[in-house]
Amino acid sequence: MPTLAFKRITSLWIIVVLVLFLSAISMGILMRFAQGSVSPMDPAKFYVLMTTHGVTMIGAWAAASILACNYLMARYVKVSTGLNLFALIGTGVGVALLWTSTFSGNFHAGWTFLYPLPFKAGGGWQAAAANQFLWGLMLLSIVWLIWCLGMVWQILQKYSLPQAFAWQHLSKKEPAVETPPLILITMVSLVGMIVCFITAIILLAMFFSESGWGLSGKPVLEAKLDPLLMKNLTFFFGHTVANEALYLGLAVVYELLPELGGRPKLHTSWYVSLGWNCAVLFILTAFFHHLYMDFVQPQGFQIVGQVASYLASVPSVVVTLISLAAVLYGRGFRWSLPSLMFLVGAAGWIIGGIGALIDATISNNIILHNTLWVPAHFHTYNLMGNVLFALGFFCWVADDFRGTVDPRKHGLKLVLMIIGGFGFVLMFYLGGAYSVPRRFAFYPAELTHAQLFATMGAWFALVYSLGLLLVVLNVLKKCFLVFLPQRS
Amino acid sequence: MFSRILAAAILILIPSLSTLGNEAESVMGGESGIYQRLPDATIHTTEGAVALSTLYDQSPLILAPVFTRCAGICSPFLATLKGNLSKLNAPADFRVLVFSFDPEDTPEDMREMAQHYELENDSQWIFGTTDQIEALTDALRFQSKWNEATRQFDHEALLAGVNAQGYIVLKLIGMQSSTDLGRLVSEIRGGFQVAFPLPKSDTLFTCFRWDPVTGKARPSLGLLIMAIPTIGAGLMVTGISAAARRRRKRAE
Ligand code: HEM
Repeated sequence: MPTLAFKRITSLWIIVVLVLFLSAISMGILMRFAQGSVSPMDPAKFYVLMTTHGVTMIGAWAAASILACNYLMARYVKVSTGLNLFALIGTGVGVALLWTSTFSGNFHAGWTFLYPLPFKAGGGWQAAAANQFLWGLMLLSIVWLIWCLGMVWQILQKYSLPQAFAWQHLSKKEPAVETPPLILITMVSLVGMIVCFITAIILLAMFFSESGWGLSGKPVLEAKLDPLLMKNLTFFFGHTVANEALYLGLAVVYELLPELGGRPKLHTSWYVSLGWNCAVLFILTAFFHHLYMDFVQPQGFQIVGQVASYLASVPSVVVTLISLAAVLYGRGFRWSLPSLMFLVGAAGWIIGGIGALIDATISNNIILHNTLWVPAHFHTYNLMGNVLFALGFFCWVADDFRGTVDPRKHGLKLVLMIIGGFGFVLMFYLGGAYSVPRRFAFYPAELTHAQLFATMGAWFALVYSLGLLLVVLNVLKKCFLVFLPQRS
Repeated sequence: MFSRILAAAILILIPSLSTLGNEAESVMGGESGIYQRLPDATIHTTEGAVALSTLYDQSPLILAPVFTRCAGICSPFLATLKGNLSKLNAPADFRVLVFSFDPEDTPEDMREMAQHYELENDSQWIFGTTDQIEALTDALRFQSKWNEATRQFDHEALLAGVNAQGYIVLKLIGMQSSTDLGRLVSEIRGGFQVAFPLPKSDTLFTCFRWDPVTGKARPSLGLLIMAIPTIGAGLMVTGISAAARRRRKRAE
């Protein structure tokens, strides 16, 4: 069971994530209003916001899912407050480096910082700002690598390696040691996260080999980098980290949904074990779908990208749907705000996943590549998927800190978030269907409907934010209470 | 069970991996067919027949495949091309060959098309047809498909630059700005162009080494870098597992 210190550090983490989320949402809304020409913005400023928004969102929700799994892991294994504190401090410094590089240094090469763009500022930013951004990411990658390795260590203190991957469930119906779904999914996703962070460290070290380790911009090696290799590494890291974060969010759903609804716990069966082991295997090669337009990438990799995109989604979706149906089937399920969030989140994850698969199909990608379809699908499974998984956890844990249960459903808040969230992403999808390009600071009149979709998207995002704010205030209040002296 | 599913997955992936190395054939759009020599097709105009080699021997060429019944891109494409070329003020030491890829078009149809753009008396422009449509469009890797419902070709808007030796040196796809057109004209006249660079010997860890003579790419050291994270993660997790097992044993 989590100690008071562990609850406090979790609570601090939640406060940080929510503050970052609210700031990044404001940036998103400003961008969408700018694209709609409601409040036009200097393009350089737009790209500063876009870069900060992207990196903050991806980072904050990856951290939130790791944190949520770590909190729930305390039910099965010994967890460490020190490790989470270390991760929080490292993250704070990393975020400070990133935000100052963008807001003060004007760095705005996008959160994917594709080589050689950081070094081709064209007067837009100084070499020092680019290096500071890269250092911010390097620090986060190192700290989070240690965080994930620490959690793997915690799991392996109790379970052997094959048990942590639930391999004993593949052959036996009732094995001597049962691996809970939370441990299985956390373990496979942590391994994926570890791969991501090692990739990021290699990628960033390669950047530094050209730009120099310091802020002066003096190269370490007199060599140039291969843009194709750099792009492969970037998406190996970027695509995988976003997906593993989602998987960690699903681990939370497997653990909490039955409990919240008053149902028996979910158990690991052979298909759960198989599905999740396969998912992690395939997700590591799905990123090739980001390089369909790179003519120098061999065709074999493009095919692997498409096949792996399909294979990665099928096991996790099928297994999760079967498991969720088993939990929800029958009368008497006790609904609450967190369980409703988990359910809507699962829908968002699947809808976004279908959008992703459409785009990951080579024949469609020729049309949809770099259109608003791309932000459409990833906002669906992030904003209406992973964010809801983590928010559901935050709502639940804020009560768990004090051992209370909030029986209210908070229907209005959720309805606002559903209308606002799905409306917001729908405007992106419509933009994509009309071939509106992504990452445009403003839309020329030739892009039919683009401005209208952008403005409507911004209004929907405001509706979402209203519902969110009501939820967040409630959670924050409860999180702050954990720091008050506790009754024994 | 697990091993069977894994084997099935590997079987699915292997055929796709086996296509590695064939990528020279599969490169897309603007890059395909570059540095290939054009077939010596015969071009028919209302003034007679002429071999393509005679044309590019005299001066570099820009090739523009069109068809006269086109209700889509061909018309704005040619109008833009004409407008942008006149804006360029480049010396007229190259020619533009507008040829039809529709077997139903005749030299007469092409002359009418030239008239429509007031180009029939401009010696820089040639409007014609060819009997070797397939050979020519294949060499250009020109994409077109007959659509029975609209009775039109779905096709790309292609400009291909051919140098005085008959090699395709640059392709532009889509409506082009005068800047891009300037690049094309400069390229066919032998000017220096910043192009897609091949990795040089000072490039650190390339994924592939491409041989422009054979058109084949060989895997290179950069691919190993792609494998390091997965191998590294595997080693780290196994190391942690071994340490944890020792610790568990000691505790027992
Ligand atoms: C209501 C909330 C949100 C709003 C209003 C919003 C808005 C936007 C806008 C306008 C863009 C630029 C789109 C373009 O390419 O034209 C964008 C990009 C992006 N957003 Fe969001 N977003 C929201 C939530 C999220 C969430 C929850 C995540 C992830 C967990 C996220 C991750 C990203 C990423 C990664 C990019 C791409 C940045 C880049 O291209 O470098 N956003 N968002």
